[in-house]
Amino acid sequence: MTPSKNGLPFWLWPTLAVLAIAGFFSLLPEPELQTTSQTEPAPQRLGSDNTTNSFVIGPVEIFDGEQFSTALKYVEIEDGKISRISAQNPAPNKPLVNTNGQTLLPGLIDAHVHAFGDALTRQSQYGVTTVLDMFTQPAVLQAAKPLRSETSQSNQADLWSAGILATAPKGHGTEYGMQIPVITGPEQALEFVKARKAEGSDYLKIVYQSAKAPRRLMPSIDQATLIALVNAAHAEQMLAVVHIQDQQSALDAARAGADGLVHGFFESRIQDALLTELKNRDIFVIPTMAVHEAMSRHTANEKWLLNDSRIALDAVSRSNLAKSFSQFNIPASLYDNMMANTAAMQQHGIRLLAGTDAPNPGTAHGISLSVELLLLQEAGLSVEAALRAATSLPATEFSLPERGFIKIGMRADLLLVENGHDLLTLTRPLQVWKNGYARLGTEPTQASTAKALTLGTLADFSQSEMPTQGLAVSATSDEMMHGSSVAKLTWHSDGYVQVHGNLSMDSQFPWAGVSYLPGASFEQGANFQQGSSISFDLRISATAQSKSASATDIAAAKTAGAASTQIQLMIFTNGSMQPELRTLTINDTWQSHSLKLSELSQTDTSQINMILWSAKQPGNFSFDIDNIKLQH
Amino acid sequence: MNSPLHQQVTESTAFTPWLSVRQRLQLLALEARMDALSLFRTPGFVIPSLIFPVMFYLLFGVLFGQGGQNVYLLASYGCFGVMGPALFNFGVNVANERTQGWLAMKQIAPAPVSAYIFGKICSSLGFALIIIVLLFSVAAIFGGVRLETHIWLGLAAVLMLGTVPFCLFGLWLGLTLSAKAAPATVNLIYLPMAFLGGLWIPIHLLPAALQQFAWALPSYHFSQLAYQVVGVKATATSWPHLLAILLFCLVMVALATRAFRQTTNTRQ
Repeated sequence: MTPSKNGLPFWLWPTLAVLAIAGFFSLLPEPELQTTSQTEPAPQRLGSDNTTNSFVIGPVEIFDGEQFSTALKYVEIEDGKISRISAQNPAPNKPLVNTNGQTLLPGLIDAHVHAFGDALTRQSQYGVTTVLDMFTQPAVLQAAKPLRSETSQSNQADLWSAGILATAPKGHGTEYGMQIPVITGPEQALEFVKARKAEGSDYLKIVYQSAKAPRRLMPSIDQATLIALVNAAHAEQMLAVVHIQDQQSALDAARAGADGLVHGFFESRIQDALLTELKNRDIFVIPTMAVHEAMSRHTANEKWLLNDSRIALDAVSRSNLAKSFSQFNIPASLYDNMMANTAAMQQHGIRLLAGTDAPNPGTAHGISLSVELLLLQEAGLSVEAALRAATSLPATEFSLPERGFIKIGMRADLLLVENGHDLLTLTRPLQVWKNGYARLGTEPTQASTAKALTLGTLADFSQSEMPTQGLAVSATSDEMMHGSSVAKLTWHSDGYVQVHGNLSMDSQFPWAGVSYLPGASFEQGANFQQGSSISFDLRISATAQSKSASATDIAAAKTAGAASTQIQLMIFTNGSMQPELRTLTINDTWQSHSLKLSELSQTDTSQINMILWSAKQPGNFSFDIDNIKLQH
Repeated sequence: MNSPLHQQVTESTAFTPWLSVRQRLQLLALEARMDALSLFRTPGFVIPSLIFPVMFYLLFGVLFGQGGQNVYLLASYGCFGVMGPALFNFGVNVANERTQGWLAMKQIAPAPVSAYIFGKICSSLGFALIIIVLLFSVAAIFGGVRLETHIWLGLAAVLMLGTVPFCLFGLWLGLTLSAKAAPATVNLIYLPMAFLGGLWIPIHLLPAALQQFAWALPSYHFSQLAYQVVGVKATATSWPHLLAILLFCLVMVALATRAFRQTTNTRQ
């Protein structure tokens, strides 16, 4: 070490410079975690041993479904059931999940969801271990029913369901693509309810809108049918719950003897007449604050979820939470009515249950229940009242066995959070147990199962209409949803597919055209992220090439005078009910259309289920499609 | 400096004195320090070089930015920012020093001319580093840019290495241009080259013909490499850009060598 003139070693300055630069770069901020599939974000994952459903957890503060415990306790779980609760560790030889004063809650119950796809798995990730579904296919319900009494290991929430709802022809509930039985008059009520019971429905959900309601968007059953349905449900020992959207309908439902209302309303402030009816008749209400908030004010998700990097949100949840019902143009101020109505019901001692209506736009399975509770708290419920709304109350009202409480004999569906008095900590569960088995941190990663498509041709139709990658290219129309549009495909040996048919506008979501399923199945979808854009060629079919469509049809396809027409492109992503839409203009020569994946704001491009090209203008149509590609 | 220089002088070749590794390092460090000192004592160089890229980034990336452009523009203005000092430090200063006879002085001094070039490259790199630190800080604090540490480092490395071709370009200009013509000429090259290379506005907003022309510009290839590092709007592969830059370097080395010989010859 040779000192230089000023006595400092010569390597000092370069070393200091390197250190300063290293320091600078280590200070530069890194991105927040975007998806759960990258790394497990939770700093603390307690008791992630999922090999046993017999253990002890403690010392914890307990919210037992009704109130918080005053002292820290130990809870012993034996074969998936709660066996002992005591001040000292009751079974020192059992594995101990050692906590220090965090809060243990009963697994939460979401009293208003629509369960399909991977809903039940998503729910349990956030500690929602039981859901009350308000309309799904009987098959979903029948598959889930036997699991409720199991204590084997499970990553899914348990499901209770109304199965098919009771609605008028073309009423609310018929617009989602399921062909469902409808009811037209009171004389059919008993038969309808018996059919639901035979399918396995746990309770009856009735969609009702009063003839005096201010905004009637869709047909509804009349009051006599409502009363008949409620009576029929009671005769069959089923609860009857009613979907309402306004005060008058709520009043009719209460007077008809309904057991509960599955929505609040915000079109007006709640009046004493209704409060009195609800109170005297002992009717519970599921206000569904979260979905109403998303429809109107739409700030809660932003405030509590989307900007908090500690919350594990995958792309689907994230995009669902960011969505709103913008097409309805509901003013934000209407949400004040919602809060006032909920506060008034709470003050009158009407039992409020927490339900989200997930996965409607603005809500996501599981995580939105935390938002629901925060919104209930904001409306004036205490923390304990809000937690009761998602535990003991729904368990009692819907007679859910072994759920909603931390008591001896209850199922070990449990949720551990940092501090139960702060509802925000529900958004970041420390651990969830389902049937006594640890739920979080036990699976490798929640990576999407969707197969990745490789760059290049997806379908070029050179040999047939079968795609090169993916399941199928097929004709599709609203026929499957009671519409009367038709669509057909014709493969042409010069290597393209002609799509022709008729689009009629008589259903709520009319479509007719061609669909491409890129994954191994619709549910699985496919990952498009190897590329950066999707391209395809489109044109209006030439008269000469058309075999099945007549010349007049082709003339009709071209709008008067102009040789161009519009195509509605819809992209469906996993876990979302709404497709992302684009309008394309085509003419009678082949044109290549390209769609940048980065511009698809509502689509999880790692899981695209279906791409659909539909005619947009009513009447006969015929267009050709070719060269569907995934491009760089 | 107490090495027995006199003992070794016979063994050294022609005009380059024999120096130990330690001495060579000290010589290079001294050159770099002195050049940096002279650079920093020229406020007319320092202020615009530091302010312009940061100001552009604040204006277009932060104030008028519609989000999502922040990372892209950081790469763009990073390229723009480090190109400037390289071109000016070489282009203008070499022209000046050559005209003033300082280059001739350097040539007859008992130190290799390469030390002079090295000093200038060092000071340009040092300056580039300052610009990078400034831009990165602004991007992180005001632009909300979040990158993984290895990407921050990678971008900084590409920006630093990317100054070298522009140093060589500047050297050639400095060796050919007169001291009076140099500032204007360098500006006339620097600004259009940045614009047409897509450093101010995204290249795809330019007319198709200009987009084709961009392939002839080192600034375009430089920025494409930077985009590749941060993973935005990059073209498919990086090797054509890398190749283009290497080719550009070779051409500049050849041109600068010829120009150097010519200046030396005219003086003799």
